[in-house]
This record gives sequence, C-alpha cells and structure tokens, in this order.
Amino acid sequence: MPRNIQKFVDIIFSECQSIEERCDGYKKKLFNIVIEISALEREHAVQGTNIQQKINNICGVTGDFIIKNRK
Amino acid sequence: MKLIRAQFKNFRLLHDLTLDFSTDKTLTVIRAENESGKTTIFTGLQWALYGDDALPQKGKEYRIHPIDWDASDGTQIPISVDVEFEIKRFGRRGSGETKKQYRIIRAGHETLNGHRNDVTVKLFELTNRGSVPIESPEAEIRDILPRELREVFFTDGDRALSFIENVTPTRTKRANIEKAIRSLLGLDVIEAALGHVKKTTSAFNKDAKSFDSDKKVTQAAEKLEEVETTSKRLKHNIGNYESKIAELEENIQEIQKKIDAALLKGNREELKLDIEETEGEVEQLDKKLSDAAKEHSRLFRSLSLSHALLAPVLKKSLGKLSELHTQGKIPSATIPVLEECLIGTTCICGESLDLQTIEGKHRRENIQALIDESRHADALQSKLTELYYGSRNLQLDAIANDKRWIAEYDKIAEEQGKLKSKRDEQGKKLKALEAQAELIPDSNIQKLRATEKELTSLWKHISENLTRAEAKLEGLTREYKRLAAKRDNHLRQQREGARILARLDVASDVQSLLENSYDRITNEEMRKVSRQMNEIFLKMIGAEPEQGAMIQKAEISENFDILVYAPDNRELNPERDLNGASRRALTLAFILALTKVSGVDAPNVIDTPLGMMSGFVKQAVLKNAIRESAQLILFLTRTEIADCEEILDDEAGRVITLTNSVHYPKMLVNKPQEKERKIIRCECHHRTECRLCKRRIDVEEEGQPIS
Amino acid sequence: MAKQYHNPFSNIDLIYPTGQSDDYLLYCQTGKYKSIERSPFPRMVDLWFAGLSIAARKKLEPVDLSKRKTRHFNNGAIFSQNEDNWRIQIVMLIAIAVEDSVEIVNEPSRMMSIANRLAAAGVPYIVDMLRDGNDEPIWNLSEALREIIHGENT
Repeated sequence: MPRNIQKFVDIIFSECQSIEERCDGYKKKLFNIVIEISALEREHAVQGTNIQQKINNICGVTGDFIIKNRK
Repeated sequence: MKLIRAQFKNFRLLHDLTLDFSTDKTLTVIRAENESGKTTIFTGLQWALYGDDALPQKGKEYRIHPIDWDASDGTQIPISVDVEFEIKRFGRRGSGETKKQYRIIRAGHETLNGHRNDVTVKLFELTNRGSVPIESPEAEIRDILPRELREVFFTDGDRALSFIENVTPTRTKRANIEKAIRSLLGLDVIEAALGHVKKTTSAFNKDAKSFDSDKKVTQAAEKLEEVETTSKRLKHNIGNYESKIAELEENIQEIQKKIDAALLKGNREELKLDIEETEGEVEQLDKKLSDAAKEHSRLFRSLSLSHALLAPVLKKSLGKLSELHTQGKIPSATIPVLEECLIGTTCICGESLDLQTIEGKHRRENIQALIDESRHADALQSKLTELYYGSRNLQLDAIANDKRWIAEYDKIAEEQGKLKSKRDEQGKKLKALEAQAELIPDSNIQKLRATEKELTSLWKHISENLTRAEAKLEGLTREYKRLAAKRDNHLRQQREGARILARLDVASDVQSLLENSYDRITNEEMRKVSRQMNEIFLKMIGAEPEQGAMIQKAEISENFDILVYAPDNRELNPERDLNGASRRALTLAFILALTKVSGVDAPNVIDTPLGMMSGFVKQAVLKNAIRESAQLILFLTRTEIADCEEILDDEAGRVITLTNSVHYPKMLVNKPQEKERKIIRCECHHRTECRLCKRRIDVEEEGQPIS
Repeated sequence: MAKQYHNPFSNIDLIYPTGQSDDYLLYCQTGKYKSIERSPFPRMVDLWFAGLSIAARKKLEPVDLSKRKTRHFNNGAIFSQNEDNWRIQIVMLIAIAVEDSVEIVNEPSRMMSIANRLAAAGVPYIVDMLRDGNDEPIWNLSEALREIIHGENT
C-alpha cells in the first residue's frame, strides 16, 4: 500500500463517485474491490502469489454482479 | 533511520576506513578536499544498502578493489562495507517510540580483473543479547530506505542540479522530479495493480474472441489483441529507449562534469599550444638577449670607450701635434690643396693660373715648387703629418664625445633590462603553464568532447526513435478504443456477450479509478512538496516576499517543472536568472522538502552542498539544511567550510578530516607514512589541522614560504 | 678615420705576462667560457687594449716585462682588421704622451713596448673591475667604467 494509506483510501473513495453506477451498489462494490486489489498487491510483493488470477476473478465476479443487479 | 558507523575495506581508495556519525546532534561533517574519497564513500554506503544497482552503470565493469592492490597479497581481494544504523519504531497503541540498532554487511571477493564473486549481504539486529540475524535483509532495507528515494537520501550537490538545470533536457528534468515525487509516495503498489488490471482486460478480450456466436466480435477481439501485442512491444521499446536515454544523459553529464573540471584546470591541448607559443617567445627573447649581450660586449672594443678613457691622455699628444703644426713643422694640407689648384685655372687667392699667360705659368711653377718642397720633408715629419691628419677626427671626437660611451652603454643596459624583465615574465608564465599541465588529468578535453558528441548524437537518435514510438503508441491507443467500442457494440447485441462486456466494464473502471487516484495523489503530494520547498528555499536565500524581494516564490508546476517567480508573477528561468548559489539552494530545498513530505525517517548524505556559495546564503543554507533534516551528513571542502565555522562549532556533533596520501607533495605539506595510495582519516575538525592533513594552501595562506 | 692608414706595428708582437694567462682565458670570449656575461671581451686584443687604455688614463706604472715571462698572443697587424686601425694612432698618441716626445713615432717597437707594458699594468686593474661587484663581470665592468668616465670627465 502507499505510504499514506488513509489518504489513498480517501482518494479512491472520492474518485469512485465519478464512475458510472452500472447497477445498484456498483460504486460501493468497485471501491471495495480496488482496496482489495491493493491489499492483494501488497501481499503479492512479499509472498509472490498468483495475483493475476485473483484479479481476473474479482473483476469477473463483479461483472456478474452487474448483470445480476442491472435494472 | 540514522547512520551510526560505516566501515570500508578495500573499497577503491578506502583500504581500511571507519567513519562514525553523530547520533546526538543532527549534523556530521566530513572535511575532505576533492579526490579525497567523498564519492567513493558515497558509492560505498549505497552499495552496502542497495547492492550493485547503486554502483555506476549498475556495477557493470565497476571495479571495487583498490587499483594499486599488490597481487602478491592474493588475487582474490576481500571487499566489504559494513554499516551500523538505528531505526525508530512507533508502538501501535501509543506505547511510544523504540529504537533498534542494525548492522548490514555486504562482503565478498573480487578478482584482479574486477569480477566479483560470493558477495553476500547480512543484516543483524544488535540487541543486548548480541547480534540477531534477520532473514531477507533486502526486503527489510527496502522498507526502511525505499530504493526509489536513494538519490534523495544520497545527494551529490552537483548532480542534484539536474532537477533544475537546462543541461538536462526538459523531458528528463520533469521525469526526474515526477519520479522523485511518485517514489516518495510509494505508489509502486498502484503501478503494479494497474499492470495486472490491464492484463485482466486482455484476458476478458480473449474470452470475447473465443465467444463464437458472432464472427464480428471475434474479428474485433482479434484485432484488439494484435493492437495490444504491438502496443506491448512498443511500450517495451519505449521503456528501453527511456532507460537508454537516462543512461546516456547520465554519461553525458558525467563527461560534461569532467570537461568542466578539466577546463577549470586548463585544456591540455590548449595548454600545449600555450606552452609551445611561450617557449617560442622565450627562445626569441633569449636570442634578442644574446644579441644585446654581443652589442654590450662590442662596447669594450669601441672607439667611443677609448675616447672616453683616453681623452686626457690624447689631449696631451694631440696638443703637441697641434703645436708642431702651428710652428709649421707639420705641413698643413697644402699638397692636396695646391695639387687641386693646379687642376683648375684660378688659384685659391683668386689669381689666374692660366697656362696661356706668363703670370699664370709662373704662378704654376711656384706652386709645383712648393709641392716638391713639402714632399722632401723628413721621415719624422712625414709620420707626424700622417698622424696629425689621421687623428684630426679623433681629436675632435675625443673632445666633443667623451660621454658617448655612457650614452651607448645606458641605451644597451636599458634595452637589456627590458628584455630581461620580459624574459622573466615569459619564464614564469612557462613554468606556471607547465605546472598547470602537470595537474591536468590524463583525460584530454578534445577526447572528452568527441565522446560527448558521439553520445549526444546517439541520444538524439534514440530520442527520435522514442518520439516515433510514442506517436505510434498514441495512434494505437486510439485504435484500441475504437476497436473496443466496436467489439462492445457487437457484444451488446449478443446475450452471452453481455456477461463479457460487464467484466470488461469492471476492468476498465478499476483501471481508470487507479489511474485517476494515482494522478491525484501525485498532484496533491506534489503541491505539498512544492509548498515545503518554497518555504525552505526562501529562508535559505533570505528572500522576504513582503519586502519586495527579487525572488517571490518557487513552485513545482503541474508538468513537474520547478519554477521561480519574481514580483508581479514574472516567471524566472532558474538556470538563467538565478546565480549558482541560489540554484544550489533551490535543489537542496527540493530534496529536503521531498524527504520531509515522504515522512521517511532517513539521513541526508550530501556531497558538496555549499559549492559556489558565500556569505549569507551559504550560512542560511547550512542552518536550514540542519533544521529540516533528521540526520545530515555533509562532505565539505575547506572552501565550503570557510565562513561557516561558527555554525559548525554549535551544530556539528562530529567533524572528521579525510586526506588522500597521493596529494603529497603537491598539496600536502608532510609526507604520509602510508606507502599505498589511500584515504587517511584524522580527528581534526573544521578549525584544526595536524601533520597528516596540513595542506600547502594553508601554508601559503599563512604567508610562510613553501619548502 | 683613415682607412688606408699605414700600420707600423704590423710585425710587432702583442704580449702579456704569463701570469695574466688565466685572466685572458677567463674574460675573453675566445677563451674558456662562451658566456658573454662572464667573458665580456670579444678577443684578447680587446682586453689588452682596455688594459692599455686604463693604465694610460690612470697613469699606472708600466710593468717591466723584460724581467717577466711573457706570452705572445698576436701582433700589431690585428690593428688593421675590422676597422680597428684607429688603434694604431692611439698607440702612437699614448706613446707620445708617455714619452712626452714626438720623436718616438719613428720607433714602432718602442711604442709597442710602451703599449705592452702599460697593458700589463692595466689588465689587473680591469680584472679588479670585472670582479668587483655583485653582478656578472660584464655589468661590474660596465658600471665601474661608467663611474670612471662620468666621474672624472665632468
């Protein structure tokens, strides 16, 4: 994670507001997955995990979330 | 982090050197003149902490062991740098701050041809119970002293100027600042995430390609894949070009530095010409002097000397002859006069000598008789007559020109005096030029300039490639967007396509979210650095904007340019409008601001921070650097220390002096005991000197003769 | 100056006491040193003539060469070389002054003997002038001569 974590979180949150709400709860979901991805990256830097697959999955599941919750 | 101690073994000039840094006061000063191991210590410290990456050109062809290593002492040379440091840690629930001490040892062997083997790095925590080894030291160090900030913590006063100076192309200057700011924020996590998310998009595109219900989607996805592959290749090339350009710029700067240094000492080729010209002048003057000496010598065989010396003697003899002449014993010059009369028809008395007349004929016979009579005078008279007439000029000269010799001598002496002083002048000039030539390093400026030209032309070539690649990539990015829209459009028309499209949307949203946040954080932090830099800079140069100072503020622009403003918001060019001292102050302010905003508790090790500075600015820069830094280690020359002694008296927790043994006898007064070329440490501080470190310049300044 | 002047000394020797050999060797450029500063006199005859001149000027007692070993280094013919023939007259005029008689002009050998004896008396005086001073011999001599000429002729 960046050195100033709180600032990073604040900025991600604020940037999320300008993203198109593709379905109900999408912005909140997006915010969470970006934080999750960042945490995964940090873990990956130390432990060398299969991060690509994890991120593909996160984005896939979120895509399905959109389909499911689309009005 | 605070540096406590560093020990260098066989690290270039540092055969065996230990440095200890002040831990109670902020400032440590290492007094060292040029070529006294400053850069080596710099490199050595960074090598210990970061490994070969911190060496010039990442350690490729970089020899570590001393060049004068005696092969009889072994061909596997042990090399090591050992650094002790202290880290402050804060407890999680306000348990206060704890300090831990560590020791990092990077050691190995090097062969005589510079090949390093078995280099290992070990990190120990120094506890009451002894040294406790720590696993994966590299990762630990990365956390303590982020690699990206290496150049901020270890600052070369000259190189730091690359943040603002025009010798650095704008592109690199901006990139340097941008890189420094982004590094301090530790945004590498975001960068890595961005890379992975882009790959996720590719993976989803692949899904779209294999989604076979509609050939249109497949076609668009395939094209997208192609564009992506080409873009990837281009990006890879751009990366290569950029690092090549950075490397070239570094080399060019290094060469320019060498050229500047050589120019300061003098251009060897130009000096050679100067020496030849002066030698020619000396030769000509020597010839003129030799001619003048011959002229001088001729004075001792001159008639004028005889006149001058013999005037009283000659007066006597000539008087005698004159007397004889008066008495008629020496005939006057009648014979030639009479003979001449006989040639014409009129006598000197006006009477006719015409042969046609009786009187004339008679007169002619008389004259002839007189001539015959004179011719029959005796031998003595003849000789005296000859002498009398022969010396008539002599007599006149002797009386009239008895001072002529003095005038001749004075003229020659004056001429010789002028020639001699010219000769002395040229002789001194020649000696000075020769001494200067001796001091010039082997590198000659022409050679360096040729290399600089070669590198610059290569730099241009690669820069052109880079511009082309960037333009192409821009086109591809547009093409990608167009194709993606087309693909999405086709996907939208398919039922199964909607799922892939949704996934692609998510990946795209995550990507833009990360990109925007990345830019925003950078911008906000940059503004912080900018404000901090402005504050430190104005203090350093003593500018008070309210009182109409020439320099009102300094800031970092959105394009990562460091800008300086005069009243009425007039933009100043730091390179052109600031003097050397202010430029240096500005870069130091930038570095100190970066360190401060980064929140990393790290030392600032700065080489030659006060170069080109004097008076108020010098003192203010020093005071502010001490104030803004957690630990400040300065490498200062005696010239830099001048006028700052009192600040050092109060602020320096430790001052040591380093001396290069090879500076004897040119620069050092006393012969060092060491046989090999090495850096010697003594405990002399900024006001003292000992047998080891006493320099010739000091002796000259004290007005004592140099033996 | 008469160029075609008869030289009565053509066959008469120029000599100096053997004891002065070193002086001639040291202070003439034909001698030991090639340095003009150390050996100001171009030829031996020039030192000899300078000795003669200073002795005449200072009325020094001529040296009795009959009792001394002498060295012949040239003859009077040298006076006819290099436009130096004014020296012929000067030697004669000095002889007249020394003898206080014009009759001597009939005796070239006697005139030359007077000149040789005077030169032998004057050369040590010249050598003193060459050595006396802190500078190189050429400058010591020049300054000494300057003083003599300046001081005594004004």
